[in-house]
Amino acid sequence: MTDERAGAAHVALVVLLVLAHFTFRPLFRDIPIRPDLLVGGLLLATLRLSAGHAAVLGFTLGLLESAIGLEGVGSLSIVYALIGFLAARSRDLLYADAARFAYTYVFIGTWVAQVGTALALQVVPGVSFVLLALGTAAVTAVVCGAVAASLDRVWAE
Amino acid sequence: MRDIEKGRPRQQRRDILFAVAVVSISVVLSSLSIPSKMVVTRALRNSVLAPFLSVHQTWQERAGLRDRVARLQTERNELSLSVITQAALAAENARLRSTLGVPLAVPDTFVVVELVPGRPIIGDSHSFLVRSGLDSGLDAPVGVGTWQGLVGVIRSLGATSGYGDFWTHPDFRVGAVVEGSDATGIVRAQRMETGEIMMLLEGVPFQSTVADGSTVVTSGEGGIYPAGLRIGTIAGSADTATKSGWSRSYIVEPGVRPGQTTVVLVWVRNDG
Repeated sequence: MTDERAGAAHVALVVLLVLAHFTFRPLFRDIPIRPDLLVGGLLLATLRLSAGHAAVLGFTLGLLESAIGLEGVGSLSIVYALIGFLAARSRDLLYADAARFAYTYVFIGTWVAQVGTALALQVVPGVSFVLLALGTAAVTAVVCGAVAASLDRVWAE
Repeated sequence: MRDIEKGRPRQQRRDILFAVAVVSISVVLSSLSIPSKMVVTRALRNSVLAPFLSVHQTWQERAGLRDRVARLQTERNELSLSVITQAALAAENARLRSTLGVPLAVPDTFVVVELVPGRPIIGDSHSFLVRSGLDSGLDAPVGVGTWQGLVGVIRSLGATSGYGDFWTHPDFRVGAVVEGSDATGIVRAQRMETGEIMMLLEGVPFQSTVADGSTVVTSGEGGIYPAGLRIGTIAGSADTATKSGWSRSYIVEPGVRPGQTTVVLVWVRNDG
């Protein structure tokens, strides 16, 4: 796959995950361990964005999430902007051009985002929440990794 | 996902400036007043998020259709019974007032509006939006409820929608009286050890006796809530057996929990 096609596939994947998040949000919301496609999309976007652009994207997604959920206007934007910025700055530590690194990267990023979101929404993250967040991070990593791998394969053909 | 090193600009200063700018904007947004936050929220919900919200609404309407029909039938039957009983009481009340020469009391007026509860991705929402029916000269803050009980308070009103807090919000307070008793107090939300959110009636004078199962209604003090609107029922004492002092506290089972209703009544204050 050429770099241009890889870039297009990457943008398509991120857009797909974000659209899926906002479309299927009510279905996912009541499931304790669910894929966080918004954070997954943001983290995958940070693989190709500069830290500044990742922060802007995080801010925008945080604002949309707070508007649709009616909670955390401003505070969610801070969390998502920082997640985007820090993920883009730290991807070299966690990510390499291999699938298992993508899974690890999304897993760690999602877990941090879950805890950050809970704090922004003034939910006290107890032990059960931390464990559920680990489950959510794992599911997000699997779903986003699988979607990324399938999209990669489709575009490579 | 390949060739990730290509096309990565390393303009660190610009990156930091971008990050500082968006975090600063976010801090400003989070410190805005509720009406200002509502302007931002409403603008996004009416533009970018409108297609998604439309899809959610369609799903919600279809998913709960059978349950809603069953619930409406139950409510209709209960209301029919209530109307029959109330009619006899109203006639007797009018006759007694006429005998005593007391003018008839003016009943409270309410406007029916649609309630959209907040749905944060983590935790429970304490906030809601109200839509339609808001062109009736309403003033915020004003209480909202259903025939089953108090739901919350509208904090801010726009031309077509309003933003409010459920009674579960940490800042929510309402003056209350216990029916059939001289007990008065303030009701607020209280998270129990089990994680369930109940109501707490605080500041009840020590000498007042309150029986379990008594109905708690709004006192009407302050003019935000109409007097006599049901809040819930006393579920037990919140004090320890050795409690002493000037006041008592009671756990109240709420009449309505957030998420149980999508249509509420907004009280129209009679300022005259």
